[in-house]
Amino acid sequence: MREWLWRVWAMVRRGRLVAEKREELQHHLDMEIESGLRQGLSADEARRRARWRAGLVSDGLEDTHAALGIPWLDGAALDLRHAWRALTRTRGFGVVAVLVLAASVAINTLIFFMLDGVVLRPLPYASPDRLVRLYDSSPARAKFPMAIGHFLDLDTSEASIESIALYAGRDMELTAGAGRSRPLTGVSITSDYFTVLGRPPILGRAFTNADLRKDVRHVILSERLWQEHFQGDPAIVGTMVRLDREPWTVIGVAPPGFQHIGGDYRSPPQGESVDVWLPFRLDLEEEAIRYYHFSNAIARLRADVSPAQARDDLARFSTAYQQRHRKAGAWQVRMEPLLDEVTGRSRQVVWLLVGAGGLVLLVACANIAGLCVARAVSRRKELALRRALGANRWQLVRVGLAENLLIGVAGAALGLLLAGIGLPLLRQLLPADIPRAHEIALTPTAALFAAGIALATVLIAGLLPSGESRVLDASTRVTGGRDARTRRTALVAGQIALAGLLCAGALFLLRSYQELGARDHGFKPAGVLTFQLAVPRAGSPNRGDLGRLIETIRQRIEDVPGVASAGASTNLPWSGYDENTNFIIAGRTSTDRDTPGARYQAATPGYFEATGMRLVSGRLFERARDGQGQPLSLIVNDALARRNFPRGDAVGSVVRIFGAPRQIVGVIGDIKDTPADLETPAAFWVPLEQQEFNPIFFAVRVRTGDPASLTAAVTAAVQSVDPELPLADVRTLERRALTALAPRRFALWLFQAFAALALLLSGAGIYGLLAYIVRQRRKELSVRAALGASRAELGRMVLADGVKMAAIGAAGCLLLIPVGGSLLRTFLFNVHAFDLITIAGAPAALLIVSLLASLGPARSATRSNPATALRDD
Amino acid sequence: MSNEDRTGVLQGTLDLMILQTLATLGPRHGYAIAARLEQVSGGAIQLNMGTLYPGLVRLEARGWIAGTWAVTESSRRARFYELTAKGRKQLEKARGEWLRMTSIMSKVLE
Repeated sequence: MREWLWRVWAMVRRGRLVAEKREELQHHLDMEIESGLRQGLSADEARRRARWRAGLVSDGLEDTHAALGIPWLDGAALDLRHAWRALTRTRGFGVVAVLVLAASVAINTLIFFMLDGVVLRPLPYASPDRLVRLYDSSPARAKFPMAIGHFLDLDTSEASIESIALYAGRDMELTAGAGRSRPLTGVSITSDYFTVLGRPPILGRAFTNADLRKDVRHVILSERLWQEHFQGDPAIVGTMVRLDREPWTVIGVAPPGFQHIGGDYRSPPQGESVDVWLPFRLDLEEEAIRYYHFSNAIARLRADVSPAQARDDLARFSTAYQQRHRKAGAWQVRMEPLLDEVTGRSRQVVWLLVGAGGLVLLVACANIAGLCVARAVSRRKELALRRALGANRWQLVRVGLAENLLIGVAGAALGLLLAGIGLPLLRQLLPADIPRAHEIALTPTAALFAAGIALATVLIAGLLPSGESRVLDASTRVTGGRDARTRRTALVAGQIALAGLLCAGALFLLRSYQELGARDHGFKPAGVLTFQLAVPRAGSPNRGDLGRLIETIRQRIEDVPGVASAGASTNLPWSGYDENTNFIIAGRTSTDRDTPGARYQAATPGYFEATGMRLVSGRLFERARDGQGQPLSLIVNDALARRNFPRGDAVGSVVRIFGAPRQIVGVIGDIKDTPADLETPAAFWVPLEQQEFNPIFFAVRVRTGDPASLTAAVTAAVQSVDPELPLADVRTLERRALTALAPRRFALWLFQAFAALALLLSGAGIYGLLAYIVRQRRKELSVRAALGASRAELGRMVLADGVKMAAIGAAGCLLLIPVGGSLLRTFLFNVHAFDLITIAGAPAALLIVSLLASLGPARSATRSNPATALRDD
Repeated sequence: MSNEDRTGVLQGTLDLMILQTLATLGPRHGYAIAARLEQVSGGAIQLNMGTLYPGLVRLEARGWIAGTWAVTESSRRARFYELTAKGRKQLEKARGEWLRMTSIMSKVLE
């Protein structure tokens, strides 16, 4: 070890050491000469004798120089020096190879950032692999919110569960005086929420079971809110804050960077999305505890219990529970790993992009391999000369490898730099509902990944031409070969095929995006401003107050100049709202119990007009006919009308919902839950004034122009009614609709970018190969020109070569398209794996690109001069 | 390697000889070591510079000898090598091994 250090150190200051050694050796020789002189020899004789006895200074120095280093390191350094010299001599090759590599490494590293952040990295909780989400599950509803009854019994009796908690979203208003109140994202939780996740509050305490009762106003703040709004006051615990205009006692502060787990039923998304945690009430009536399902559940499995064992235990538990509470229904407790639930659907998108990125890398690899083959051929003479001068095969291969290593290192560094620059851009492009997007970051793992793929790519690319073994034989005639051309043609055709596959992928996604855009979604998102309003429920206002308040606000908004219509509802289209209830149709007795439930919603007059929903039959809500005290009315959607009133007699029928009979006054056209859904769930709306809900969403349709320009006027209108009421989540409806389409758009963008890059690379590949062929055939072309071939004929010959390559590649890509289409299946809407436009479009793109790439070489072929044939060698 | 062919001196042997020379004479420069070896071997060992100096580098790298620049009696700058404590230990070990080996060999060859 010490010797190694000494040698490394010696290598560093070798220049000086060698100079010293030279002096030492010279001294040795001089002493030798002196001793000769002492023995009476002449100066010449003494010098000759000394040289014979001690050797030449230069020879001795060479051996000493070698001894001062580490042999293999010296060899490697020599190789790298050779490689560097060779690369700088042919700068074009090096620059192109590094750029190609850097671009594809950057893309793949960005994708790796996503893969790592979204899928690979463990969730930021203690032993996250033991965390599971629990659902109530029935044949009709696979993953339904959990009933409190299940939670209570699981908490006390289920052995395989170490701890369990319920949670549900509950937004609040931080009351801070007129115009300064701000909406807060809140989640009500049971006592073990922080225990389950293994991250207890940093200040104060978590909730205890005593807190989980009505009118207990204890709150736990997020560390962010504590810092931002309370300046990190260390004495915050025990103080009062005003939430929803009531005093709440702060009992704790959550750990910094704490991430909420997210959930599909009334929950903020996973991440640092929560401002306050509130007690989850458990002191409800027996009915609400056993029969209502309105909570998300999270649990930690015991360390010694396998998931399969836990599932068995839960099945046994569910059966026993059903026997104890027969009226509660046939619900099974279902368990899913937390990570799957958090990353769920987005994982597909990420893996799809990983696949596409891999294709880009393959194209880059083929491209660089093509460059290497060309280079190996153009260096035949040089290599043959080196071989003849005594270099062995391994030394020649080593120089090639060293070159590729340099390219690989440069490509990795540049690629990583580009990825680092592209990271903020990627964060912006990322659809909002990609979970854990906040965890996407530059990590050492990602850097290693970038270096790894870069080196693998160049080494594979470098090995392909070194299979060109004949180059390395000294005896080979030093001429270019047909063999290299075939090899390069194969590489270019391969690139074209892969680029075609990426084009097809982009076309598939584009086509299905267009199909989605052309679809009748049942509402008109353009020209609508939307926002959320959570009216504080302090002092439990009388029934009707809330409805009247909303109606007053609605009218003030409608009075704003430029507003065409305004209305409020429990939810906006494509928002993921999923509240359901059962109902009974008056006059039908036999199937009462089997009547499936429907989505319940509430709306004010003006809401359907503002969102542009279509009236199928009957009428919309009207201010004069659907207010408080007037006959209870109901609007249903077409799906419900078709399902429950197949004879078209929905309007006029009476349905019992929320314990009261209501008459259907209108039928509204269907809106799917997400843009690409095939089915629409049955749904109805009650007038908001007859059945109050909070919070609600407002939709404001403008007459013309940008709806966002009315934000200030609308805010003023709302605050003219209640100056402390903050508007939350202000966005245009179009923006919300785009958010629902965001994952598709994201995948489409990236695919388009990848396809463009792959086309560019294969275009460059075609160009390079044709230019090389034209150069090689220069003499032949000149002879043809001399014999009377026209310029057009010469150009056509080269173009034909290019088109031939494209055709081979296109044929390959046609074989791959249906495979690609079926892999993309889940992302396609109304587009078949044998989509004609795609199948025709991708090869067409390839042909166009190859024609464009052939133009340059073809032009230089037309410039073939008959005289060249005579003059050239 | 080619140096060993030329001189017929094995690497380990050369190391041992240099160490022994320095142990006997104290600090010496390269030429003095070569001259001494030639003298005690009765002219059988003539060290080429290409053998001697890489050998000195090797011993220095291993920390068995330490070189310093100093001025000779004839007031010329020369690099003097000196046995280190570690080198002395190594010499004892290698010397013991060598003697044991030669005694075995001589018994076998008798």
